[in-house]
Formats: sequence, C-alpha cells, structure tokens
Amino acid sequence: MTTYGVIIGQANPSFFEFNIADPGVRPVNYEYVQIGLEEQLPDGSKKNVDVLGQVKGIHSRHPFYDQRTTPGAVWKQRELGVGEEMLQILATVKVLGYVHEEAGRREIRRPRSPPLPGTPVSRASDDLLREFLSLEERELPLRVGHLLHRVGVEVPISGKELHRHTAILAMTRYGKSYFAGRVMEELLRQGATILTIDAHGDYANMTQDPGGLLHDFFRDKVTVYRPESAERFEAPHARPLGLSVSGCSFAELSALARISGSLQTILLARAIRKARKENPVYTLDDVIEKLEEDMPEKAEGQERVARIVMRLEDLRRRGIFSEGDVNIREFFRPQHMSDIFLSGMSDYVQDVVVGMLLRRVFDTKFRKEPWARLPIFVFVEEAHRFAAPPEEGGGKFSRDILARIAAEGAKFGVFLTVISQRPRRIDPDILANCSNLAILRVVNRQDQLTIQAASESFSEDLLDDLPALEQGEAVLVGPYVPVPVMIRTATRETRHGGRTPDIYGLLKEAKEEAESRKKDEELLY
Amino acid sequence: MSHVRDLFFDEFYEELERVAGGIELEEERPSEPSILTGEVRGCWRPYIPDTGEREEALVSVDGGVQLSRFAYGGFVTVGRALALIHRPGEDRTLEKSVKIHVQEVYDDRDRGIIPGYVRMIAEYRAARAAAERVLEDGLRPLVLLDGSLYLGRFPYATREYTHHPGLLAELFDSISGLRLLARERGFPVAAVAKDSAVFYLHMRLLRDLVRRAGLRPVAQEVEDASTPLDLRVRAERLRPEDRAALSPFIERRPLCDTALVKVSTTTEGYTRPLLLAPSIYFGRGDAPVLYERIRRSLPRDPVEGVVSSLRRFFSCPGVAVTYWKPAPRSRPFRIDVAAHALGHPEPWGEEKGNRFVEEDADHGPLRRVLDHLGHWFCNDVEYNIPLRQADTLARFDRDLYAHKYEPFIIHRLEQAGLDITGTRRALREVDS
Repeated sequence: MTTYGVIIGQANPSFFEFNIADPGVRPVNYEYVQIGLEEQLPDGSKKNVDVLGQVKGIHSRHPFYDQRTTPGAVWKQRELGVGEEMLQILATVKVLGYVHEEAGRREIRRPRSPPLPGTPVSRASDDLLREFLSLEERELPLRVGHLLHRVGVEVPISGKELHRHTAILAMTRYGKSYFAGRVMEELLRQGATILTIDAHGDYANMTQDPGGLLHDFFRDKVTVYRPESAERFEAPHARPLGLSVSGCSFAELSALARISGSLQTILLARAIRKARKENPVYTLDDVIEKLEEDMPEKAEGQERVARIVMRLEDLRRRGIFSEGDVNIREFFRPQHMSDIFLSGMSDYVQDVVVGMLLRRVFDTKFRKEPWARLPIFVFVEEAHRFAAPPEEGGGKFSRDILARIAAEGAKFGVFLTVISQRPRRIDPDILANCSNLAILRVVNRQDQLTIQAASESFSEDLLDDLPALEQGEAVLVGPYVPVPVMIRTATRETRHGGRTPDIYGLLKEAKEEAESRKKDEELLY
Repeated sequence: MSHVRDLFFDEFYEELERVAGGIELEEERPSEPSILTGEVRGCWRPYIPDTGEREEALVSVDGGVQLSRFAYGGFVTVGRALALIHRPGEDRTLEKSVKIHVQEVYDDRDRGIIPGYVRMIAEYRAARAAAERVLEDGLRPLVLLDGSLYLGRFPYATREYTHHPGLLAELFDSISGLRLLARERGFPVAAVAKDSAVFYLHMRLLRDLVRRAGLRPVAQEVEDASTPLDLRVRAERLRPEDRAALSPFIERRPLCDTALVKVSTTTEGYTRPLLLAPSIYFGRGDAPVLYERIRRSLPRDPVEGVVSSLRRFFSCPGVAVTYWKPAPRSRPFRIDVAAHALGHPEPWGEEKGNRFVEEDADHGPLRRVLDHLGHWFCNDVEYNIPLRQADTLARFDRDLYAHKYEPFIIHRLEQAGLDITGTRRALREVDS
C-alpha cells in the first residue's frame, strides 16, 4: 500500500490535513485515502478501524517562491536549484467513515474520535473501497459507474432507495441523459417498469446498442409512444399515442379551451355530459356537435355558444387530442419502458400531455388497480419545463401532478426522477422531495445554491467540486449511496440519443451538396 | 493583539503632532549639500560588475537567534545558522550549525548582548564548515555573510569578561577560525549590510579635509572623534578660536556613509576600500591594556583561554569597508571584505586607525566579490538571492521557537538538574 505522509496540525472526526512526504508520490484531488483509527464504541470498548477519506484539496508551497518574489528573483532562485527539501505539499481530507458490522447488519459509520496527528495516511486499497461501496442483492445494486480515478472500483446505487425520488442535474451536454439512460438500463435488467417523459427523444433508441443494431436484451423492452403532433419517428417499437378528450378532466378541458365564465362553463359541462352519454370515448367534434344541437334561441346565448365552439375548434387545431385513447395499462408492463416521445411538440402541448398522462398513472396507482401493482419509475427529462413553480411560468397541467407524485408517490409506488439543466427553475417543493441527487457539472452559482438548499446532505465542499467535474463525472449524494461519492458514468449498453449534432460531418455534407449543385448548373448552361 | 480597549490613542496622537511639528520647524531651514560631496567623488570607482563567469563557489551565510528567560536569572539562548553553498551550474547544498548557551544572567546589558554573540558563533561555525567542504572539493570559496564582518561594538568592558568569559572566547575563536583559514587558503570573506548607518568613511574623509585645510591644532580632535556627533561634543571643549576654525566642518545634519555616497554619486561603482582599525582603538586603551584588565579581573582558570582567544583574534587580517552601488539609482550597500584579499594579510591588531588602501592596490579580488554580488542582485529589496534563501531557511521565528524548541529545552534542562521556573510574565501570557 502506498503511504503518502502523516497527519499534521489539528484534526477532527470530519476533516484532517496531511503532509506529503515525497513530492514524487502524491495523491490527486478526489483520491481516496485510508487511515487507521482507534474508535471508541458506545459500550466503551475500543476497536481499530480502517477509516476511508477523500482528498478534497491539495496545495503546495515553497518559502522561496512566495507571492512577494519578483519575476527576476524567481529565475535567480531557480539558478540555485529548486530546493525540494523546502517544498511542502499538503492535502486536506474529508473523512467518509468506516464499515461497521453488527448482528449481521452492515452500515457506514462516521468516526467519533479525531485521527491522531502523526498517523500515516495511505492510498485507499481497492478492496476497502469495494467493501465500503458494495450493496447487498436485496438493495438492488444498479451499476451506474466507477469511482473517479479508480476504474477498477464499481459504484452501485441502490435501486431500492430510488423510492425516495431522484434528481439528475447538470449543465447541458455534461451527461445527464447518458447517466439517466444508464440507470434505466440497470433498472430494466432488474425487472423495473419505467415511464419516461422524453422531451427530446433521447431514450427512443434504447432498443439498439451503441452501434445501431438491435440490442439482445433491450430490443423488446422499450416502446415509444408518439403523439400525433410530435416529430416524425418511425421504428418497429414506436406506437401512436392517442389522447382522447374524454380522458381529460372537465377542469383541464376548461383551462385548455380558456373557458372561464360561469354560463360558458355550464354550457360546456352540459354538452360534455350529453356526448359522454352517447359515447364514453367522445371527441371534441362530439362536444361541439352537442353544443350546436342545444343552440339557444336568444342572440346573446348564440354568441356565447359560438365563442365556446370557436375555442374548442382552436384547441382541436393544436393537435393535442386524437381519436382513440391510450391504454394506460400498457405503461405497467413488467420489465418494460414506455417512452413518451414529445420531441418537436410545443411546450404548451407537452405540458398538457405530460399532465394528463401522469395524472392517469398516479390515479391508477392511487386506486390500486390490480393490474398496476408493480411500482413504476417515472423519469422526467427537461423537468424544469413541467415542474417549474407557477410564478416561474411552469407547466399549468404537469406541475401539480409532479408535486403530488414527489410528495406522495413513494406511498403508492410511483418513483420520480427529474432530469434538468436548470435546477433553479424547478419548484423547490419537488426538488426538496428528491432525496437522491446525481449532480454532474454545474457552474451557475444560483443552480448550485438551489441544489444545496434542496438537500441537507449536500455540503459546501461538494458544492465546490461541481464546476470541476468533467463530462460524464457525477457526484452522487443521498440514501442510494453509502456515502457521497464521485463517479464516472459507466459506458451505456444502449444507444444514447442525447448527442451533440455532428456539425463537422453535416457541414461537410452541405459543402459537397452545394459543389455538386454548382457542377450541375455549369453543365446545364 | 490585545482585546482590551485602548485608552491611549488621544495622548499618542497629541504627542505625535508635537514631535512632527518640531521636525517641520527644523526642515524650514534650507538644506545644504554635504561638505564631503567632492571627497566622496574623489574616492569613487565606477564599476559595472561582470556577471558572466564566476569561478568561486559562493557560500552565503545567515542565522537567527531566540531566547528563553526564566525566573531567578535563568537565560537560554539558541542560535542557528545556515551556509548555502552554490557551485556555479549546480544545485545548492547546505551546511547547518546550532549553538545553545545556558547561563544565569542578572545584568540587563548582558541579556541584550549575549544573543548576538550566540548567533555570530553559529554563523561563523557554519561558514567555516562550508568553506572547508568547498576546499575539500578542490574549489575556491567566497564566503558571504549577512551584515558586517566588523565588531562595531567591541566587548572591551571588563564586566563582559567576568560574566561570560567562555562565550567570548568561543566568539573570538569562531571568527578567527574562518579568517585565518581564509588567509591561509587565500579565499575572500565578505559581508553585505543593506541598512548600515555608520560614519567610518565620513570621518576618514573629514579628517583628510581638515588636514588639507591646515587646521593642525584641531586635527587631532578630528582624528580621535569616532563620529560627527562625537566631534561636536569635542568641539564644545575647544578654545573659542579653535572651535571657530572647526565649525565649517561640523555639519548641522551630517550624513552617514550610505546616505553620503547616495547623494554624492550618480553611477554604478564602489568607494575606495577603507581599512578599519579594531574599534577598541576608539575606546580608551589598546589590546595589551585590555589583556591586563582581563587578567586582573578573572580567576586564573578562564583567563588564559580568553586572552589567547583575543590574541588569536587580533592576529587575523583586518576588515576593509567599501560602499557599492549596483545600479546608478540604487541605494548603496556597505560591503565588508577581510583585508587579506586586498593585500593586507597582516594582523589586525597592528592597525591603529582607519585608512584607505593604497592608491595602487589591486582591486581585482574586491571586484570579483562585486561580480558575485552583481550577479545575484535583482533590486534594492531582493538584493542578494542566495543570502535571501539563507535568511529564509535560518530565520528563527518566535512562534516556531516557542512551540517546537522551547518545550524540549525546558524538558531537557530540567532533566539535567536545572531549576527552570517560568517568569511571572510568561505565566501571565499563557492565557492571552
């Protein structure tokens, strides 16, 4: 085992500092280290434990090269030699804890005693790290990545703990969707039922391997549901997503059609009742027909009906509703993912669709339908569009149901994962209910503070790490990991859809096409 | 910093205003150029150091000292020094030395003097060890100390010899050890003082000026005076006509050597080296008289050791001083050089007064010293990088001493049977 140095200065059970003995053998930032500690147990007995820590800061200093030294003097200093005996490299370590086993129960404990100055600090062994991070089978370990700087040490997250809801947050293009996709893959392998609100179609190709061929395992585990007004997407596993107006609550329909006057509301409610009586799966046309059938005699009443009809026709043109209705039962297939493909749809329509679908899913679980007994993992991509607070212009239809799922979903088996690049625009009530956090690179200070405010376990030092993360690197915090941990996301098994467009390739193609056209024109004239 | 509310600021401010007002009144009088400006220019040697090839291995020495005071006179001084050896083209190496002196001291003057001696002993020992190492490697060293080679305040009071004879013997031996080795092996020893404020050059030039003016009756007074202030006191005792003759040579605000060189010169260069006599000759008596006084005051046992150390010290070559300006606008540095390098290997004890080296003396060895200094000069603050490094490494921080050294000293000296009782002040400051 490599020993880096010894503890110096004041140490406490949470942090210590050590002096690196040999500058040639020094840890990098975020490296894991271990120390031996004599811990006093509650019964007064003492036990030697291996305590794991993580380097959270490393700095070097040399008395000859301080800030007051002028550039000219620095070069003269160099002429005398570097003077390595005066070089001081100090590392600050955050104590993560030690593994405690008692009566067959295994847990990570924080030491109560401070490490003693003079204690040797070594590079943590892979075995200790594995012991620290391993999860038992009943915890449903999901292998989402490996430790940062330790490729050989896998970091599983507890699938069981996802019932406490999760937030995956990062700047655009830093690997949120990739990480979420990896979690979905692992959940599917564990038999989970998943519903994905896929704003950009990032998960629509999860039936394929990264090379574009059908994946042996996932080929039949994903169904894409595409509303009529969404972007074109054709694939054997794609289905049209029909949303009948009959599945819409009266309040939702009134809001959608912007019908608010009491007389108008009465007229609309009467028309809906009549339409439903004739056909439980009625359409907007049916409602309009019923309104026109009952046209009042007075001109004033006729005008009122005409205004309602005009608004319903306007709603029809937006393409939210279609004939036929989605069978919500399909979303509860075991070991299957239902991907709601919303790419290309306006924010407004996406909001309505998401709100309606999630309300039906939640109601199903709430009513404890026997065919919906399995828990459902709901992933909401671009969550800030749907989960922003009303005063921030958040989704009128989806925000409330998301807040309800975040607050009560765990009880009924609806487990939420929100994915967003704008944490500050997500309703704080929703974010605060996400106990598990996967944070990739976040630079915006306001976003950082939002994350910290949402999670008690997100400490200041973790916050400082966020801007330094590279693409695919994440800080995991919350009950789904034994201790806050920094990982690199494992390579996905399936095709990732959230890629940056290949600008180089596309422009090259464009240039070739333009040149070919020019040649054709020259031949013509 | 004390957390007690300060009660004195109003009184302090009032007093500051009074003092500053007095200075302003004096400054209203027109300032005159120094009467010695022309004399300084006469002994100025323009020189731009050649910073290219340097043969010698540079040995840069600096030290630090800390002390502990205990109840009932207990006094411990710890000096440490470091010699940084730099052979051109190679990484530097280090030679270190520590000197601990334990004594019961009852005289405040001794408490002020002893730490300086202890530090010097450590410095000269480190310097000598480093020089020997360089010589063993077949190279020629140039030993450079921080400060001065000259004992400006020579210990001529008999009290000192009765209170700490062993320490003084060690001091003289450590200085002699380096100087005699330097003379024997022919390598230069020099020292750089950044903030010297002495009047050696000033007084030498003044004496020459008075002599040239033909003022024979007062020339001896000028010769005997050690500083312009001393001369002013002596002038008060002269007959009125002699005092009047001398008055043009008594400046209202005399400039110390470095200030005088600064205002009088405009180029890089150095002053003609001035050989310094041991400062004892500016006190009353000379070396043999001192030996007699020591013999009369000390018991037989230490006396011969001390006298023999003193004899050895006076048998060393003397010290010459020059003022060097590395750049036209920089402040002059005082450079002391062991006199053997300037063609004066004779025992120092034979020098009875300060005098310039001969006009035709070979300045080559001095210039080689200046070449080294010029090479390592960056600016007026970072004036010598090796010395700066030596200073950084050897400096003795009070906190470091109190936390890392003093506890060991107390523990070990108690073990050795010494009564180490903290002073009441030390006990009081534990809580502050």
